Amino acid sequence: MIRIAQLVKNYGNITALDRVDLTIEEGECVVLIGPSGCGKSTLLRSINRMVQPDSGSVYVDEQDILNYPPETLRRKIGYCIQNVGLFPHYTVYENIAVVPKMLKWSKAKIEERVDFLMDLTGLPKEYKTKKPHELSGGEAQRVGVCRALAADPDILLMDEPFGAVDPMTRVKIQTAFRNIQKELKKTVVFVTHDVEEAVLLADKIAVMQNGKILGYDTPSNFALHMEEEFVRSFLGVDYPVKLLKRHNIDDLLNQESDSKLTLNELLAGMLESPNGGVTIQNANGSKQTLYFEDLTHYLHKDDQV
Amino acid sequence: MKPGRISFVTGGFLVFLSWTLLAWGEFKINRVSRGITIRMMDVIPLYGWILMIAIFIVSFWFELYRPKIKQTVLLWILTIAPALCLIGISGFVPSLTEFDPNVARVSLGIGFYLFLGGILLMVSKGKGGQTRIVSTLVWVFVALGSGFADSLGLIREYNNLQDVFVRELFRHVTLALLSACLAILPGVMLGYASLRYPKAKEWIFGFVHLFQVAPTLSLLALMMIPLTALSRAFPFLADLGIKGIGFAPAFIVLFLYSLLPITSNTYAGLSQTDPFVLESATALGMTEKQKFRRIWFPLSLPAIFAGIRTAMTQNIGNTILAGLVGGGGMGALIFLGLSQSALDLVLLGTIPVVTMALLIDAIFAILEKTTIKRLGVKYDPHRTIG
Repeated sequence: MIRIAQLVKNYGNITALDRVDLTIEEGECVVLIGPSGCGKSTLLRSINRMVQPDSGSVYVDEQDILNYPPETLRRKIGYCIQNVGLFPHYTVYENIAVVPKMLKWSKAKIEERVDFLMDLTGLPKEYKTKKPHELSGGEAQRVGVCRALAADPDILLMDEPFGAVDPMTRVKIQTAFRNIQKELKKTVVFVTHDVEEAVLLADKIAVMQNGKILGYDTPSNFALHMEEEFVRSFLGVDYPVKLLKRHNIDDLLNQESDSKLTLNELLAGMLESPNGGVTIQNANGSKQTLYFEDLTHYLHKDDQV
Repeated sequence: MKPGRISFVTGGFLVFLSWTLLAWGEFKINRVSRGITIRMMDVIPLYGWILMIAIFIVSFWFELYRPKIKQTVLLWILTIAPALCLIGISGFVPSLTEFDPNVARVSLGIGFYLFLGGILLMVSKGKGGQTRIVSTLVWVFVALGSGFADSLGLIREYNNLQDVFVRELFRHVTLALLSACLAILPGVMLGYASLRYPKAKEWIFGFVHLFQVAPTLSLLALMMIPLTALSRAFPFLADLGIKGIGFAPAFIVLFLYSLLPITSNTYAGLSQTDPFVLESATALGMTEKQKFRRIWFPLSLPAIFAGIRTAMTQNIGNTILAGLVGGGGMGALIFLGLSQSALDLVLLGTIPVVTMALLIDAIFAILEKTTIKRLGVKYDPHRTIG
């Protein structure tokens, strides 16, 4: 879907991108993570030509993006940033409808799309006529996501989209976004410096430093390489614990239920319990006590950790 | 002490001062004769005196001891006092002097102005203060136009010069507003250009500042030289009215003067727009033109309006100088009055200028407020230049 080849960008003496190669498959959510100034935003912004690279190319659907006029390209790529940047003089509806209007969609189609997206992100219908200054940070961010998804783009670029939201709301909006992504299967490039956010949302993580990609793999595979210095320093020595958030109790028990208990919550329960056991109820109603061995057994069963 | 109370007490002091010490007006047998001083005692009959003092004292008593009870009613009564005094002064008839009632006139003195100022300060207190100020002034204008104040010098001058007055007033408004209106488009364009091309910014701002720094009068004089040369070289231009004196130089100077506030406010408005809003406009695929027309320009409108407001109010005042180069306007009356030592004529020229400036300022203030409300943007006027 997106192929980045030998991309170089310098700002004066500072190298933001140093011959970066990256391939992103269709429907994947790739999270770029790294310290500030590592070039992750520059990489993201060179995909929709907000940044002009010094050399190298970006291909979208095997087409060099320089073949498109930048406006045409950008209308096909959703974009969402930390500061949201909603248009203060437009209502929520008008903000979401910006790109569809430019693409000359019919009014009925736009209306339908806006309703669908507001429903998807959990915004009440009454909000359509509100102005951005009447919204809370979390609501504004949801509108930002709606606006990015408005013209049903195949690609979504998100630059720390939930960074400015308070922690409580952030978890809610992250979960909401994860569910949206499960449903819509967009190709997402997501920039963050929050490892937990990366673990929660990513199909693949790219760790960046000084304009280079140090590692590019699935979140689970990074845990297999804890001996590597960059993994420990960027993802943290406790990375395997953070990774537990990705897994659900249903995965461990190999059953189908809608239990929301994640494995890091299970681990917390084990630590709290005096004998290290947590009793849970199975889908079929029988009770079962789980111990730390069960956890490690599950995690190492396909060498997941 | 609350600001409302300060203005009330200061106003009260001014009113008191005007009653006791000062001349309220001057009665003249004709335009140039020496006048007889009119004092407060001469103007208002005894019962009026008592009534006014009573209102005055009661409102002070309210102010000082029962501030929670509304004194609004009393303040509203006070708004009509200057108008009544005006009629009183106009009706002053001195004893023992022979005069022609069609020529004799009364000029307003410092006492009346002090009284008016004091009342304005007093009624400005509290909620609805602005409305009361306006209504006080409206009452004064009603009194002036009512026919009961016809022996005021001001009205006599007006009646003598009615045609000229109307013509020059029209000319004044045309000169001031038309030149400012014509400066809007180039001003906005210059403001945009100085943001778009940072290298040109110094030149553009230098250019528009030049006119602001140069004294208006010298600019008028400077303008006469090329215009005279032009009209001599191409006589048909002179037929069109473009020559060294008259309408043309005044118009050009006022136009140039309007550029700075509009340019600098446009620049400020554009450069203060949230960069993330502009970034997302670009990232959503807007062309430069769409971005400017749909996002950038509308969001800068409050600042641009503020610039136009400054340009127009400043132009209303500056247009007075057009009178010096034969451009007409209220300046023509003012300078005529100055040359003849006819202060009432000067006043006749000045009052409309001040009134117009205040009116335009108020209209644009409302316009600005509604734009801000409609756009849903916040705009901080303290951050603009010029």
